[in-house]
Amino acid sequence: MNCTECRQQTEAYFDGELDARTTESIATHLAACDLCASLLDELEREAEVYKSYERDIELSPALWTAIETRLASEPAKRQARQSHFTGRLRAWLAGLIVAPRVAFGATTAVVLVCLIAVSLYQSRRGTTTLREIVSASRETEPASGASGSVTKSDAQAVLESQSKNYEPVSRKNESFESAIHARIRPNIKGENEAKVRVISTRNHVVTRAELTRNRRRVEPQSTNNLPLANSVESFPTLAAITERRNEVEPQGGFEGLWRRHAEQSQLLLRSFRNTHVRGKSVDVAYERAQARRLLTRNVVLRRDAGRRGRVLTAETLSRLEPVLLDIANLPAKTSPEDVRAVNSRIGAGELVATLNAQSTFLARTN
Amino acid sequence: MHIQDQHADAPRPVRTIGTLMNSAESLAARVRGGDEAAFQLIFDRYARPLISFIYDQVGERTLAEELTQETFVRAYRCIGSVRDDGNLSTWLFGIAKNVAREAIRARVRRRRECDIETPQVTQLNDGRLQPDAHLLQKELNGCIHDALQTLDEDKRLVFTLRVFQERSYEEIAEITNFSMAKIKTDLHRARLEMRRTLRPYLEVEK
Repeated sequence: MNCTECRQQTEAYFDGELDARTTESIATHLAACDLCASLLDELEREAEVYKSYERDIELSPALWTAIETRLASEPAKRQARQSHFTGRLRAWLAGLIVAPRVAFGATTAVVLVCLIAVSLYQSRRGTTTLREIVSASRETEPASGASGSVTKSDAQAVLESQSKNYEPVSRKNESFESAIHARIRPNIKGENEAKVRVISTRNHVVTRAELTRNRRRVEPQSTNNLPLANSVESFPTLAAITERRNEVEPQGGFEGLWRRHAEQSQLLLRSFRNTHVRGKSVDVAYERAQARRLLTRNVVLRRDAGRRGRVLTAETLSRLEPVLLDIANLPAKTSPEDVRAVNSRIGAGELVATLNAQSTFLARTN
Repeated sequence: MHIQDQHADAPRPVRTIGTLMNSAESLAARVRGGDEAAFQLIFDRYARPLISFIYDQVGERTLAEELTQETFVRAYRCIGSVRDDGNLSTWLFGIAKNVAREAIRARVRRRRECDIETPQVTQLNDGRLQPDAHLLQKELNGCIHDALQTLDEDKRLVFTLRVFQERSYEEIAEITNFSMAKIKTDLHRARLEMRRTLRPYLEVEK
């Protein structure tokens, strides 16, 4: 290979677009020709400069909101898509009946009916969540579900009484964590007041009244001592539960919501882990907004998982929660040290791999 | 956070069983099946590279955000027409390219050139001053941005897809519908023009 041929293909060689044989020929020539090698060096220097390029633009959380708003104003198109699917399904079923293969069609219909029945059963199980919540608040066994009939107004009265007269246990952190804590503390006035002793560690905050009422030991949510670690012990109000009800009971019920939550959390952690840390501050406004959205859902899911006896799911959600809280608590422009601290926590807990494994399992079994 | 070239240091994704569930194929199929949450996952995955790409084309922040929004709305409307789910990324960039081109042709372009005769640039050459690294980077960012806007549309398109989005020539051909010969020629010329404009900074890097 001569210099003319080499120079014509240097850029393609640099871009990795040549076949193996040509690549080898050029590599051999470059090793022996300083002039052609200098061209390659120039391309490499330019690539370094372009890698350092920082665009003066941010991904605003409002962008997704704007897209959602626009898409929501297109119901006609969605209906058309759904009716197209329904029409195709109808035509397929009609074809089964008309065709001589009646036995096959009948079997398929039976299978469909069974699948529908199973999904209805799954969704009906979710309605015990509200009963279990109220039962727990009245110091009854939550798992039995035999607490008698529970009306919505009863549940609402109990939960609203719990959220009244909230006194934050810890005023050290007036940030987003406090906003979540504000949902939850039981009324500790009256005879319980003398018995209340605040137990506060770096990792969790509980009250003795809550321990007594719920008859369970609250384990620390996290045992590691990274400076940004905090956990939340929260109990959503009825408004939050009913508001989220459609999320808890959509396509696939608890399983479906947990799977989606795992996917989105995984994406957030991967995105945060891949954050480029340059300069004195890092803008994490988008990640922070994502973490806040996921954190509220994480709390609801963790409690629900605990009541359903889903130990592994509850444990994963418990490990995820402090990380989401750390990201949610970061200022919009944070220091590289804080970003590295959160990233080391993500790595130490192997959260991404765990979320990946569990959501894969759910996808296969559902 | 400021958008940088994201692929520079990121390892190539390893295809494992775990990633199949969130693969582009499954996400596109789920959106077609009516799963709207899957579309948000698509947004989460592709919004950053798309807004970077569109910003490189149009050069204006607000316009880039609007066009990114338009890109995703169009994508949602037309996701049923994706021929091959495995090329969801390429398909999205194709939409973004069209959206950006329409915007460029709809407005009057203001050409801003990085003037190499300005005192600051001259001082870099003669080495009498040692500019603060941060200021230098900021100046370089502005110069790269301005230099991109001086390229013609086709060259800018090919250059940004190759250099910043690290697309292969084949992917660039699919996104732009350009021939391979045109891609190589435009890329080569774009590199020469960018090199000419950024020479002072390249010599500082030396």
